[in-house]
Amino acid sequence: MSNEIDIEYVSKLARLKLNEEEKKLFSSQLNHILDYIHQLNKLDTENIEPTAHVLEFTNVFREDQVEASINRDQVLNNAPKSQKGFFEVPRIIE
Amino acid sequence: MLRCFHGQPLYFKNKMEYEAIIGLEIHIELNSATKMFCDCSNRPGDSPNQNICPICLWMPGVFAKISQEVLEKATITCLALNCEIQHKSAFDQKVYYYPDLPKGFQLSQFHFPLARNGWVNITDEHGSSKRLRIRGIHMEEDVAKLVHETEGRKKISLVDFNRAGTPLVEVVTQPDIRNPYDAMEFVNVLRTLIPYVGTAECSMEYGTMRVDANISLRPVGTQKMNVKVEVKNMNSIRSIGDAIAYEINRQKQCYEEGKEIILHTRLWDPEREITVPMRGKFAGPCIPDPSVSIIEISDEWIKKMKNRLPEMPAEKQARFIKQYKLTEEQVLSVTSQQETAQYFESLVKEGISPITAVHWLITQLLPAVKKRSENLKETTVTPERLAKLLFMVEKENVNANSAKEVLALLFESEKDPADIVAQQGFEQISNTGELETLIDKILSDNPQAVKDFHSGKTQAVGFLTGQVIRLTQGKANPKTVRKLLEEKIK
Repeated sequence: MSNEIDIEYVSKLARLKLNEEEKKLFSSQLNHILDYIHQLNKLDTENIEPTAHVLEFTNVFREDQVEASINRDQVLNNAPKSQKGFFEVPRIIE
Repeated sequence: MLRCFHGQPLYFKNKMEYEAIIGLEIHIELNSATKMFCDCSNRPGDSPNQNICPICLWMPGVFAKISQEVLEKATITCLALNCEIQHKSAFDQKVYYYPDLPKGFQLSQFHFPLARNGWVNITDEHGSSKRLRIRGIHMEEDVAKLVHETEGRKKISLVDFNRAGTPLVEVVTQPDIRNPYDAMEFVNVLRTLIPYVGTAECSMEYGTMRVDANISLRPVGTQKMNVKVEVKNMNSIRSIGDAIAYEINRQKQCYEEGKEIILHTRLWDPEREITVPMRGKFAGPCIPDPSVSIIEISDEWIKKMKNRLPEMPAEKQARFIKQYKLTEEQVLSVTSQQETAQYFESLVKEGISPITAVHWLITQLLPAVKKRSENLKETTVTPERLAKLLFMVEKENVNANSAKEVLALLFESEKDPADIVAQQGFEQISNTGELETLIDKILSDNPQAVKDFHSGKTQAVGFLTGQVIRLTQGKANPKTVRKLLEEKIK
């Protein structure tokens, strides 16, 4: 099994608090997933064009024509918090 | 090793010669009517969350479709910057988490950008021409705008989605820039060229053009690239220069004190004139997006876009010098903006001499238009109306001072300049009989000046001429007054 997962970093990104036991468990599980994915690296992709898109469709465009937007108050009603026409969220400064 | 995050005093001991390696990333909002992937109005400045829909609120399951107009404007922008348009380009999902992007990824072009390998010429500090290369230009959607506030002890952010989905192009330079001046000049050239082709406004003040600088240092003569620091939040050309100069000195000091430079982002603080650390630089993964279609472009279509490029500033300047016999300085002043050049040519077409046209346009009309927050395209002082007034100046029916007053009145009404001049008594007085009476009065009122003249102080004529003109409230023809005075005083 590989040992690539920095569980402290991953749990910070996921905003999850893990105890020592969980850290051990999830490191091991995530490393297993990585091993599984790494099987793809064994494929020879030398002469294969990189995938730009998973579907075969090109040049689907819109006209530059303004249409009515939706009602702001209705949208804000769905938000947990709003004020002065804005959505309100806790401040996050990295 | 110590980590160097904080701004230090600018003093440092110059033990080693360093050179700065600077690359710029410039985001430019395109001026299409609608947003990039939906039919909402592309007006980020409107009242908060007025221009929103499920697509630009990034609701799950929506289908993002790019507008043809955005592709055309982005392509024309790339062509103006001498880029090679790619025959195939596609969108990726650039993953990051922040409240300005609740869907968790930004639609951007990473693996297959719209254009590569461009360049612009700049004039460096010493006046010589220099070519700076552009690595590529890609399209991406702008994110929501956050307004940070504090309510009592609670810190909150207010989110406005009007800007979410505004079409952007991001210009990425090669790390060719070596000093703050060239960086400022590069941005200045972009700020001139792009509004010329009419695809974007490029105002740093209003945030329709945003510049980030990547800066690293290395000892002169070495080739290895050291760890770079990204600087954001410069909102004027000047602050770009100041921020880069500050950051170069800060890093130099870190090296001299043996501190490690780490990859991170800093903000320029224009008040304190320093850069401050903002966050670690986290480059999220970019994965192909399955909703926006691949863009395939033919040579024929690229040619069609090329034909839509107007005459560019450098060509226009060369033509103006030849065609209108203007000096380089005069030409630069009228060609810096497309609309100024157009206005100038309209005035000349009306029959005004190029010199008069440049003079009135630059020293009178432009400042007046700016003061009224209007622009040359929409002002009521059309080239036809200004030309009528300037004809009266050329024929000496109105003197220059009165003409300036008439110009101010032209903004207030749609009246014909000739009517304004006639109705409000701005005609220049060239009638010798009328002027002679006034001159006699001034001569008898100012015996000392007359005496001065006779004792050899010829400048007394200038004083007396001024007195006569004042009596007419500026309407007397100065040349006629002077001539008559000189005759009489002898």
